[in-house]
Amino acid sequence: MRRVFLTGAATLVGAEVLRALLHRIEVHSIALLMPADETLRTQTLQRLEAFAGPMPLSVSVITGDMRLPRFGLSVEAWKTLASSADIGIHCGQREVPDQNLELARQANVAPVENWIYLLERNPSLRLHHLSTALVGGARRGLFTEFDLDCGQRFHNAFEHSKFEAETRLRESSVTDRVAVYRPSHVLGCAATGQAFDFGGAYPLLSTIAKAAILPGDARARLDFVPADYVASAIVTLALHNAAGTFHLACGWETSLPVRDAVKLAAGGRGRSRGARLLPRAAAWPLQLAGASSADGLTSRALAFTTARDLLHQGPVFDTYLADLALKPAGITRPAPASWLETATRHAESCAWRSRTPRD
Amino acid sequence: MRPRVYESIDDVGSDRITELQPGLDFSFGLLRAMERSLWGALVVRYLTVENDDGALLAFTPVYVGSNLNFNALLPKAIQKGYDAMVGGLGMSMATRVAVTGSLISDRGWIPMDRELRDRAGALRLLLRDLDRVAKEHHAQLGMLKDIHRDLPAEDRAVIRGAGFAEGFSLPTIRIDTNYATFEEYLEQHLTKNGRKHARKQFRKAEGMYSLRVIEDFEEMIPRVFGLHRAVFLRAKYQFEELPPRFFVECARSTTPKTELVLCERTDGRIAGSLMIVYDEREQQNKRIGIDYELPDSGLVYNLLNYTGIQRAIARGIPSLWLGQSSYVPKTRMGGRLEDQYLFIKAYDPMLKPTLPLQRWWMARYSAANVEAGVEKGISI
Repeated sequence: MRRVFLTGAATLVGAEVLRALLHRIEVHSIALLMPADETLRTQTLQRLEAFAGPMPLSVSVITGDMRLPRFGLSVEAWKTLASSADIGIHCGQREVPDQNLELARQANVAPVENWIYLLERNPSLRLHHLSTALVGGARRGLFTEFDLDCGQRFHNAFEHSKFEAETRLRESSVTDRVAVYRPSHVLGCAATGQAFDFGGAYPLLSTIAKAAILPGDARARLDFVPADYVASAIVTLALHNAAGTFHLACGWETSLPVRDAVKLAAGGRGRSRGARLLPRAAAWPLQLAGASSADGLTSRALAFTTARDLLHQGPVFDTYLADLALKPAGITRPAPASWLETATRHAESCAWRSRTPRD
Repeated sequence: MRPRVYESIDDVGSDRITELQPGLDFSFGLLRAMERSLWGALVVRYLTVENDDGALLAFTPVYVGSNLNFNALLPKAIQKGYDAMVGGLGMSMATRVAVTGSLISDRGWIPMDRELRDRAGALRLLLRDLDRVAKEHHAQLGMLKDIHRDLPAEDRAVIRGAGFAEGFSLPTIRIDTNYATFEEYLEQHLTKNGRKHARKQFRKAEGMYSLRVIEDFEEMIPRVFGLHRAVFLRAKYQFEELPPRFFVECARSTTPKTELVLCERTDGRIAGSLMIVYDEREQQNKRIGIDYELPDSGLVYNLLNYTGIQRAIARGIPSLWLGQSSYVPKTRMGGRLEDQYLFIKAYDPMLKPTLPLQRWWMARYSAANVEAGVEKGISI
C-alpha cells in the first residue's frame, strides 16, 4: 500500500493526478499540501471536490507553502511528513511565461530544495517531479530524455527556472530516486476537454483561437498533450517506482503544423478561418498592440510573446524512455488532431474560466 | 539496365543488397536502422539500377529534408547566420537538401556490382533519379556525401559531369588490423611512442576500470545513450542527430553484426561505451559514448578504442574504420587518414554562386592538410 504526498493538486496537471490517484486501489493515503489561509484552502478543496469527486478519508491536508523552507512547516511537522510518505509527486509550479526569474525561481526551484531535503531524510521516499519539455528552450533540433543542458537559450523565466530545478535534481545526492516528467504543451482531458484550471498551454490556445494575426511559422510543429494522459503516465510510473526522465509529448509524427493547430483552435471558437501568420522578423510592429486572447485569458503583451516564441520551430521531443515505460501499461497518447478542437470548444463553453469556485 | 526508386529498405530487400557487398555503411541493417530512426521532416528514398532479372547493379539511399545539418563543415559565422535567418523568417527559409549516401558513413561509397561493365551508365541513371527525387521534394541543394578516394576516378568524373562541384570532405581514418595478435599490432604497427602510450593506458586502468563486451545490448541503451549523446553535443562537427531508436535498431541488426564495449568503473558506474559494427571483411568503431563527469574521460576514450582494435584483430578482420573525428589520438593508434570527397549541386539558382566558395573553404579538409595539423597536435 502506497502513501502519497502531492503538491500542486490545484493545478491543471495536479488535479488530474489527484483524480487518477483516487482511482488506484494500491494508494493507501494521499496528503495534499494546501495554503495556510483557511478561506483559500476551503475554496481550493471545494474546487478539487467539484472536479475529482468527494474526497475520501484517505485524503488529508497539510497546510504550508511550497516556496518556504521546509514548506513552511515546523521542525516536528517536517519530521512527521518525511516519514509519512513513500511517493512524492510535485506538480506545484509557476507557469507564467514572463521574464520574472526571481518569482519563477521562488515557485519552481525553491520547492525542489525542500524535496531534496525531504528525500535525504527518508531513504525510502521517491520523488516524481513535474517539469516541462520546454526546458529545451529555443533549441531547434532533437531533444531527448537524456538531454538537459544543450547550450539552449530560454524564451522566458518559466523555462529557465524549470531547467534550473532539473539541474539541481540531477546534481543532488538523491537523483537516483527522482523521476522527471516533461510534458509538452498541456491542455485538458482529451475526450471531453474538461480542465481543472486554464493554466498550462491554455494561454497559447486562447491566443491562437482568438487572434486575427499572429507572429508564427505555418510549417513549424506544435506538440500538445492532454492532462489526463500526463496524469495517468505520472501515476502509473510513480506506482512502479520509476526513475529517470520521461518526455510526455506526442512527438514529431503526430504533432500539428502551426497552420493546422491555428485552424483547429479557430474552429473550436466557431471561426471559419484561423489567424494569419507572419514571420517573426516581420511581426515586430504587432508587439506595439500585442495580440488578443480569448476572453482576455492572458495580457495582450504576453499573448504576443507567447505566440512569437512558441509558434516557431523549437525542439523535436524524442519519447524513447516514455514509450518504453508506458507501452506495457497500455498508456498511449492521443494525437492532438483528434482532440484539440474539443479542448477549445470546452474552454469556450466555460468562457476560458474554471467552472468551480476560484479564489 | 533500368532505374527504380524505393521508399523503404525492406522493399529493396536484404538479400539483393548483401549480394552487392556494399560495405558496412550501406549494409541492410545499418540503412534500416537509419530509416527507422529518422526524425523531423526527413524522408528517404533508395535509388537503384537493376538488370532485367531484378538483380541490383547499383544503389544508394538519398535523404531529403530541411533538418539535415548540411552546413556543418562551413564557417561558424555562416551556420549562425543561417540559424538566425530560419529563426526569424521561419521554416520556409530552411534549405531543403537531398543528401545521397549513408548519413552515418565512415567511408562513403556508391555500391555497384563488381562485374558491371557500364559503370558510367549505371551511375548516370542513379544521378538522373537523384535529380528527379530532389526536384520532387523541392530540394534546393543536392549532395553526394563523403565519397571515399577508392571510388574510381572515372566514376568521380561522371559525377562531376552531371553538374556536381567536387570538394573535400572530412578524411576518414583506417587502421590496418591484419595482425595475428594485439601484441603483434603494438610491436609492428605503432611507433615507439604509440606503443608506450597504449601500454600505459592499460596499466593506468588496472584496478580502476574493466571492459566487457555485450552482443545483445538493447537493454543497455537506456543506460548508455546519454553518454553517446554527450559526445555528440560536444562534437565540433554535428552532423546527424541520432535518437535512441537508432541504437535499438542497430542492436537488433544481424547484417552487419553489432556489439557494445562497456568500460565500467570498479563501483559499476559506466564510464564509456563503444558501439561496434562488423562483418567478416571490415569493422567500424561506430559510435562512442563518454561520461565526461569522470576525470578520466581521455583514458576511457583510449581504452574503448584499443579494445575495438583488439576485437577486430581477434576476429581476423583486416580493416578497421575509426570515423572522421579526433584525428590526433586516432593517428597515435596507428590510423591513416584517407581523402573523401563531397559533391554538391545547386538546384536553386540563388545557391549556385556559393559553390566555388564552398569548394574553396573545404580544401582545408584534405587528408594532407589535416595531417599537417595533426603533426602540430591539432585535430581539425
